Amino acid sequence: MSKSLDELLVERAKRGDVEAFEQLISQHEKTVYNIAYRLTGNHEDASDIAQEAFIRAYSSLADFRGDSSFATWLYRIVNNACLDELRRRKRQKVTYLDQSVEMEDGEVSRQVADTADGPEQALERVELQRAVQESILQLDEEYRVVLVMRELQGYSYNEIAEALHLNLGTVKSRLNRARGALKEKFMSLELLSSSVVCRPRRGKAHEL
Amino acid sequence: MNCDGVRPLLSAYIDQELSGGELLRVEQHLRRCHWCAAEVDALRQTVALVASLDEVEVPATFRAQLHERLVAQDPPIARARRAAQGRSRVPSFRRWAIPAAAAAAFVIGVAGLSRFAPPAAQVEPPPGESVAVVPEPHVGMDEVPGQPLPPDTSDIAEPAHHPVNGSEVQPPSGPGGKVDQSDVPPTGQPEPGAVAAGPTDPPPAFGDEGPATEPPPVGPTGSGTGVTTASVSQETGEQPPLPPQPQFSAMAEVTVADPAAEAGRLAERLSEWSVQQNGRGGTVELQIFVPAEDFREAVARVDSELAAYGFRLAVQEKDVASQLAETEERITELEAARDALSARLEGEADQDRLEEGLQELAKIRQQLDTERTNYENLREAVENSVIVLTIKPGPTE
Repeated sequence: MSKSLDELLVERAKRGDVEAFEQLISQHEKTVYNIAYRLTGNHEDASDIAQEAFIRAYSSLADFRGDSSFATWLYRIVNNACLDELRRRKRQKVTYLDQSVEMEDGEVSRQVADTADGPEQALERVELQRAVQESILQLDEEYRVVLVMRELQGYSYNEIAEALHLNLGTVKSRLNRARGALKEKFMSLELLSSSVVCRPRRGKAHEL
Repeated sequence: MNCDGVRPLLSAYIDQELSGGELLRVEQHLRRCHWCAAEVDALRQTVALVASLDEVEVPATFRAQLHERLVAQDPPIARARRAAQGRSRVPSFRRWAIPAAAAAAFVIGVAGLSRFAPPAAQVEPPPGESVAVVPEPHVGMDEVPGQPLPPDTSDIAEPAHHPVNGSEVQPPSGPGGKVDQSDVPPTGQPEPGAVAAGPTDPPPAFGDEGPATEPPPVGPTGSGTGVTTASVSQETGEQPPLPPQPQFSAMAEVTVADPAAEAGRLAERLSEWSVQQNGRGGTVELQIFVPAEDFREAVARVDSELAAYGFRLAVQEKDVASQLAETEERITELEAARDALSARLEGEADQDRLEEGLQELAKIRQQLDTERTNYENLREAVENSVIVLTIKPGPTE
């Protein structure tokens, strides 16, 4: 009988209540933006894509039937918007990160939120985050999307499968390969603790 | 099961997404294979590293930009509805244009610029009267320094334009320096798109008080007193001293025979900074935007220019640290209130109370947006100083 907050807002937004859609934006903008940011690696693209996603959601709201939750539906749109952009980008061979560390006067941009750290730790932290983000960006889009949804948004395999219209096996194997490739990358960057010894892999390298 | 069979399952294993049979076999294998056990460890570390990425904040400009783009959309829902029901008046994102425009205008106010603007009557005389206000150009022209630049200013390599408060600052006018008065916007330029949708649209239904249309007085008020620091601090004594966050400004009033010509000349000489000219009729206002670290140098430069006219800049320094801290505090409080209310509403079964809660939530969000804009603006004001020269027509000494 009772409806969830999102359901109620969607219902109203469908009736043309812009304020309700505005509230939906408020509810979800942070997640949407973060997905976009981690998939693109810079704020400009993240803003573009996140906005694009909300615009797409707004224009196709009438098609949303409530088969999945609004969040799942919306995140699928975000992912699609990201994939479109990333594929377009790939054709143009442009990928860049925010140059956050190089900014003047010690300003390390929005990537560092933790002000409890001293400046050195903060910088170290920024560099680590940057290395991790860069490694993620080296994954192919299909793997990147799955990884971000799982690791950063905490989605279950089922939810990822639903959002991306993939079968469960594909989600599992993509995640496995994404993690494998990242692990290799992190090891080469010496980001993993040295006690870990891995047998050299046979066969072809983990390239995605 | 051998290593090759186990490896592809390890990712799902650490997520506990293996089926019973698979799980058993993997666990058995891991007990005797330290290679694969190490692989599990490495994967766990990998996952932890990725998960350690900070959540990024949505930029303060995000919402306003999204509004603009949504406003540009013909609302499909409304369109469909209109077709279906023949309604003429439908809500659309055009109504959002007001808060976006208000936010943009507010940006300017907070940065400490509005205080320097001459009163509207002075800036914008009715078109027909403007000629009468313009002073005769021949008075005292010989007292004005000539065109050749002083040697220390002629080697300026890169004119830097610092966008202030998110809106592009008007670049200095070209050689000759005549102020094209018809093109100069009065006191700062709000984001063009934000106002594009037109101020004639009805105000949005954001609630009765509409915080967007009534920004709190964070910006400087009154004359000459600079930033008004709100004197709210509930828990004094416990708070550690705040690092200073100086906001620099400097101003001078200059009386010359031909303000427009002088403004143009000055603007050109100071063109390594971002210079904006405002004003119509007699008085011209020059706003020079300087990165905070260049402020002293800029003041010295401007003073050396002004020396020729016999004027000096009055420098003001305001510490906005406490204002920043208070804004931050209010943001935290509002976020907590929003989260608490959101959480409560998720489980709210009573539709009436849900409605009520939604209204409340919308208000909180609106306040939160305002405070966030405040915060950004304060930061902006700390990072960019402004030097304001009010150049008035009058007899020179």
